[in-house]
Amino acid sequence: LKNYFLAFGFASGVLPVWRKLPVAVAFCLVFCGLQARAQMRPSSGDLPLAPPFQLTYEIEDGKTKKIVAVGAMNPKETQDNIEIESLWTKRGARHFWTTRFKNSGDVQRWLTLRWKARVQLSGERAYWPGRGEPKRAAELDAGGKTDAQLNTLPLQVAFDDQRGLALALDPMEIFSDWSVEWKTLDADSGVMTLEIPLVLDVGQSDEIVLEIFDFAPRHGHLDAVQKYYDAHPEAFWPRDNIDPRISGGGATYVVWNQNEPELVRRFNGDWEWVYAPFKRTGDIYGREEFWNYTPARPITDKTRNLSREEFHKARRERLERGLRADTAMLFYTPAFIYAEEQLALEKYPGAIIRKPDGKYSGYFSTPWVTGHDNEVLMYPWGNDFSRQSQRDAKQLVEDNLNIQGFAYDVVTGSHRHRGAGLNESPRRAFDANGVYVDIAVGTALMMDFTRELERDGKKMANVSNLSGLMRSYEAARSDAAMYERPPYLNLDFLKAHRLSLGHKPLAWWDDWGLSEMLRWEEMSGEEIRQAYLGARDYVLLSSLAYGGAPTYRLAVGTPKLIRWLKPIRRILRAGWEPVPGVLPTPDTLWPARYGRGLGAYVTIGNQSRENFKGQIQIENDVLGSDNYLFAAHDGRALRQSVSGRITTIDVEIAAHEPLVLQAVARLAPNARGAATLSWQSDGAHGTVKIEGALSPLGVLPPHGEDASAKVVRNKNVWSWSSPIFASDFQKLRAFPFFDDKGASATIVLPKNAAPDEEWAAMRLQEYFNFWGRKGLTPARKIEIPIVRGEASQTGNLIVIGGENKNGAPVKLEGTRLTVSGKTPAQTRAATLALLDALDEKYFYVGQFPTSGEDAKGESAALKKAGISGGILD
Amino acid sequence: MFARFVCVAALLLPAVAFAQETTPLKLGPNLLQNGDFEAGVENESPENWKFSSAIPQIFQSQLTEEKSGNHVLQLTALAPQMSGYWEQSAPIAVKPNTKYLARGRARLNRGTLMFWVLGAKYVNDKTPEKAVEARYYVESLVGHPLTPNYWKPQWALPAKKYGIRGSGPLRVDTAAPGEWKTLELLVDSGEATALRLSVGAFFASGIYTLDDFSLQEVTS
Repeated sequence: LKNYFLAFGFASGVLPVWRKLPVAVAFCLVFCGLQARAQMRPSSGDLPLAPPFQLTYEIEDGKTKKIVAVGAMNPKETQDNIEIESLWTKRGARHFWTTRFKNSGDVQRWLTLRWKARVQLSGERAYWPGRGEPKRAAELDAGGKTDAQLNTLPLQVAFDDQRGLALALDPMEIFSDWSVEWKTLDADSGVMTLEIPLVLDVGQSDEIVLEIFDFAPRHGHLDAVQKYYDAHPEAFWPRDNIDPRISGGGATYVVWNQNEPELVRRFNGDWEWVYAPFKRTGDIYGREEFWNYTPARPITDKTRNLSREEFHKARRERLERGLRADTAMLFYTPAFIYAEEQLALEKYPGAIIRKPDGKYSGYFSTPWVTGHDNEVLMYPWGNDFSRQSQRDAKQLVEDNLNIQGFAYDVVTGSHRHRGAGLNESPRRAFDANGVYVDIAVGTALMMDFTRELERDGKKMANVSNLSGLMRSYEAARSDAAMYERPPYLNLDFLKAHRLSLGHKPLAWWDDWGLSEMLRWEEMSGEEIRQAYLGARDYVLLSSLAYGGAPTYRLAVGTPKLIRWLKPIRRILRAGWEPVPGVLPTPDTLWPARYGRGLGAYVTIGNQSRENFKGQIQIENDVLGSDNYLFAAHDGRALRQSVSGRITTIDVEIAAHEPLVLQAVARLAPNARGAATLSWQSDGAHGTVKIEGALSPLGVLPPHGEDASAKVVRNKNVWSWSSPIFASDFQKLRAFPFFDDKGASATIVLPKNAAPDEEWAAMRLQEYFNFWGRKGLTPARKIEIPIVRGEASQTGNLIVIGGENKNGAPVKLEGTRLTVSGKTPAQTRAATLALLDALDEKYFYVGQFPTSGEDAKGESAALKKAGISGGILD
Repeated sequence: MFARFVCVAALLLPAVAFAQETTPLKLGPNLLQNGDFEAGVENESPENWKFSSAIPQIFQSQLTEEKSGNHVLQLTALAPQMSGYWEQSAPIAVKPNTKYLARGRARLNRGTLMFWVLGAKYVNDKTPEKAVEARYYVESLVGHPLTPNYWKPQWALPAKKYGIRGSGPLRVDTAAPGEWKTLELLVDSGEATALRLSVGAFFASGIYTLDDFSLQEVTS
């Protein structure tokens, strides 16, 4: 009876008085011994899947396979030596069913925990298990479990035309395994099940929280995903206490291997995957005691053949390439889950993950991480290997190497560990071979460790290479990710990874690789070229659809992609959203959304070979609390009308082209009417013009214009001046930086220039040095001299730094171009903005690759198409 | 035209030796019964055919009449959880160490089709001993990221990788939506005394339209 009142007390706290009765009845049923199917029935008012949905749990003994406990919102009670306590709470629109389990017996218990939600649906029913497409009709009725692999979100939803119910776990929660399942009961109802295998030692307890919420399925399961994202920003946004460059683009080794800062800037190399900066896999620091060994193959890399002291010095210097390039350097590790075989066997034999037959669970005897080692799969937590890895990671940061985070390669799951570290790990599970912990558990804990390391006031970032076996809680611990394929390969992977990452950006980290998809040997050269052009257009549109950024490896040699690199980065930083907020369009239009409210982007890709002319309808209530007018990326005039919460826009989108719309004018939510919006900017000054009866409450400078600029209204024109550029881009581009003989200007620094000012001068000098070497044909030397102190200088001067208390930092007056912010940091930022502005005139394309999937003949295909080493346009 | 039917049968058994040639061949008579599905229905199946799947409830089949008046067998896989195949009701007796040409036509609206020739040395007409096999997969290009919007369908290679048991090679092809695909497998019977022909859905939902199947001895 005491337990009854305890349990009822839980519910009483969250339910209104008129709903207490059914709760009391439910608990009475439980308490009266109706254990088999006693059910909690939150009322339709709480979770509107009326008539009632029902929540139950059951526990199966993993050894006997017998059900040993069943119940619902049980009070604290003991069944088969398992203490079970349930707690029902509500925060906002979400309900939480907390279940606490304790092994009160005298033997270790293997438990299969199942939570079941019986839901009643009508009309077209659907079920989404956390990845893939929703299952409907016969596919729904066929049932089947979905496991946790492939970044499956721990979120399952059932919905019909009107209503939906979601069951979820916290996305940061770690489990060795879980699965979900739908079972159709009859034409109107079915059961969603969450199953978790769990091992509890004698006296051990655990607490698992099931999150339950309802949603209106206007966009199917994506509405539930959107709610899930909103409830868990810690899992779905990059952290704000890390280096902000992590939300940019990947450098694809251009910093680490080429040390060409201008190439890095032009291709958005904001973070670098610092590949294998160690001699021996498993010894990422480079310890004295592990330094000398006989590798499986000769060491061919000359840096790794240096003495230990020389290696450390060379590594430090090479990492500082990131300072010149303005790139965040991410120290590569194979996710702390691989070690050189001899090291593993001698020092950490218990940490090696082995299959039940004793063989390695993962093994590379062919060149991989370092090229000269054989590498064996390790469990990265709760053992000597893990402790050494933690010491190494910590010391790398404490040594003040220029690193801003860790690159986690081959992040994975589904390797079951039964050795050292098993009992130190949470959430162990079991199978026919006994107790295990999944490698993903240890990896996630290691990710938590590196996330807390700090340098220069910033936490270390985690950037992951996504794999098909990984768990979504590993993605939740990643601040960004690479997709080591182009976006047309393995779409099932890509879509799952996209959802698990939330708002975070992806980087397309691979070459074209079309030869494995294309019958190129049977095609003419022109047909192959057309195939690459088609793939190029797909890359552009899919980048906007999936929130992925093309890297140097895909963009070099393709002018169309290069022109879109900076806009794509800006758009992606607003954060990918699962619900596009666009009413249904023809199948060939590909909508996506980034961000919310004023400033949010809606992108529409026209996949068709035909131009599209028609209307796009944007759901303003998805974007925010206001109604909005939209600006096109290219400034074209857009006729649009607002009715209810919908903005309808007349658009034309050319074949294979995107249209990027940005919400730039805020209207009252009850505003009605039509208007035509256009905008223009010369870099220094811009205007938004709105012709029509609608009166915006606020206007934002669109599409990369500085959002901090003060906007002034004059009738139907809103104008602003750039906080960075006092002179327009056309004038800046006309400045004579060089002529036929070489440099025709001088960079002038203050006598006691700050480091940021020195850096700014170096980058401006490097800009034209690069252009002379790589952009001009024939190449020629352009070395703009840098002098300190202005007094004696004449001619064309680029004055960097110094005093500028007022006005925009970049200003051209006669022969004097000034780049001077209020602080050296502002001068640095203004210099980068200037370089971006100059790119349109000094447009660098580079050469299309000459190779790729050469095992499939890509180099031959490229030659046949006439694009090898050329330009794809 | 007649009503939908679904049937359950034993799972197909493993494997046959296989060879492939492209030169014109002289062929013997068609050893299949009702290979063109014109003979009508018997026990809710086309005469001389039977259906097998571990999850038969996700499949529907029907004979339909084309505009030409010919009948075709239409297999609908409602879900991708399991494969399901039509095959001749009984294995077809063949001569050992003899070449046979298995042929048919198929049209996919999406999904992946498998055409499978399985040969074995049958003891008491049941137990396969040494088995060899040959497979022909056809992938629909529906859902392909680049066709038809960016590529012509005929440019695309199949996306999936397929395995085969036994020693025979396999053929993999693509099909545009609505395209009739001719399926051909040239089989050396080796030690087999019987061959089994199967065709159907390979773990992919879709509508698979089938017609004009034959198995003929290659006489020269």
